[in-house]
Amino acid sequence: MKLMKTLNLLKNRRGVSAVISNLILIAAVIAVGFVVLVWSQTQSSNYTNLYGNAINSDTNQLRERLAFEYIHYNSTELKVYVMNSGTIGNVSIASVYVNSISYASPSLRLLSDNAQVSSLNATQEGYISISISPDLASGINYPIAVITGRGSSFVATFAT
Amino acid sequence: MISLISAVFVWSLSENTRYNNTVRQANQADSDRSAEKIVANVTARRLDDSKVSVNGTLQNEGPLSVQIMTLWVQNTNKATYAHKDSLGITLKSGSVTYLSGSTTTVSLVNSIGDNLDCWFISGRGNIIHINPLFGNPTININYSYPQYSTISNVSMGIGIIGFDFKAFRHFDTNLTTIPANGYNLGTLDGWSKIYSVVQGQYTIFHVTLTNYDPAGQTFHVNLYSNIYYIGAHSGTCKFNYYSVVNVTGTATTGFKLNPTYPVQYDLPYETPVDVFFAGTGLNGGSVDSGFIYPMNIDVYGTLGNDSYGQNVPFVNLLFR
Repeated sequence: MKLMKTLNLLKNRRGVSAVISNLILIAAVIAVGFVVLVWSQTQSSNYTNLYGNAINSDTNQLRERLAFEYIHYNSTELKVYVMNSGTIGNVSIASVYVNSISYASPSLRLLSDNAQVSSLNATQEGYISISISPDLASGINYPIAVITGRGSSFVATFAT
Repeated sequence: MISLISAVFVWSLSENTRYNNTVRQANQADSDRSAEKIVANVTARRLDDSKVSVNGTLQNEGPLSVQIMTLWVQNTNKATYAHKDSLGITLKSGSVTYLSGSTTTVSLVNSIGDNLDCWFISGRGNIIHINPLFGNPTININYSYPQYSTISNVSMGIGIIGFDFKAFRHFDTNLTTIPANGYNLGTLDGWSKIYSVVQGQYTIFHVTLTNYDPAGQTFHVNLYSNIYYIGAHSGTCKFNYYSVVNVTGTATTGFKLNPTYPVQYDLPYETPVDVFFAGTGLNGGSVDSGFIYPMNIDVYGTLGNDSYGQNVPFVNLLFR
């Protein structure tokens, strides 16, 4: 009995009208299109953010310049006097390499008033103090590399 | 979708343009830094056991204006050093600035016989070493010979007054009599640099003198000061002079001659001062033209509370 009812129901099934079917198709296309648009916008937004940040990072790095004014070593401490001669401020010192030994986050002070700062603005002068260990040999030229927070590297040599 | 792609494309182009602009600006900055050319005709010398002064001239021979930020002085014997920041000296292309006095004096422990080295830092980050014409960059502080200047001290037996040969100028009035007060002499750019004058013509001499008194006292120039020369006419000696005169104004705004006004020239320690002498140079009789005669800049006055006089030699003039 139950089986007969089911067979009758299937035999008497009618299709939806053309209007309804078109509406369903349009709605589906709009929905898919909207999803694709949102996805595209998200992707392009991610792309522009990444690319913009990369360009910003590169241009900021390009504008960084550190000039070495004087380097003094007194058997325990190395003082590196530098000036931000670039066109961008907020130049921090991430690390200093002396004779291939890294000294991370060295102390940075202003030349004018010895105030400790985290970065140098354009045309500001400052000095980096590093306690050197082991001691450097006397009468030798040593290379020094200053790495900025933006990743620029500035190299000089000094004589002990 | 098309507008979105177009917007991203245009934005990418603008970012690339921004990057290229930054690269170009960075290259330009490097190029400008390379183009800087400052000639430092300076010497470092000891003032006392704890002070060192750097004196002389800085000349910008490059095409760009240069800002001088910091002076560094190092005592190589004692491995000590000192600096003077915020100098605030801006040199336009071709201009010269004089360094003296407290502006370029640093506190640095030193002794007689120590060797001093000094250098300047420009705003673009260049290190400006002293002119190699002065010999070894390491200067013995017992000596000081800036170009164009006789800088001397009592111990050298020459005197305390220095004379800048390069700043020596004269103004020809084309008059044979003394002009009236307020006579316009124009700016120093219009004055003649040639070491040649016309005798009998009222001429004003611009002489830059610097007082290097070791005690740091001010020298007051007296009315008796003059430029004196000995010439000859038909085998007979002629003694002529140009008197110190009152000139007001500045080199850039223009000078005015006031022959009857009182003379007042004070030479503070290590400060170049323009002193003016004028006359026809015929008060002792004419001299044979077409010859070179030695001139003596005779300065007399008071140094602190004492009188002081000095003859600054070595200027020769061709009399036409």
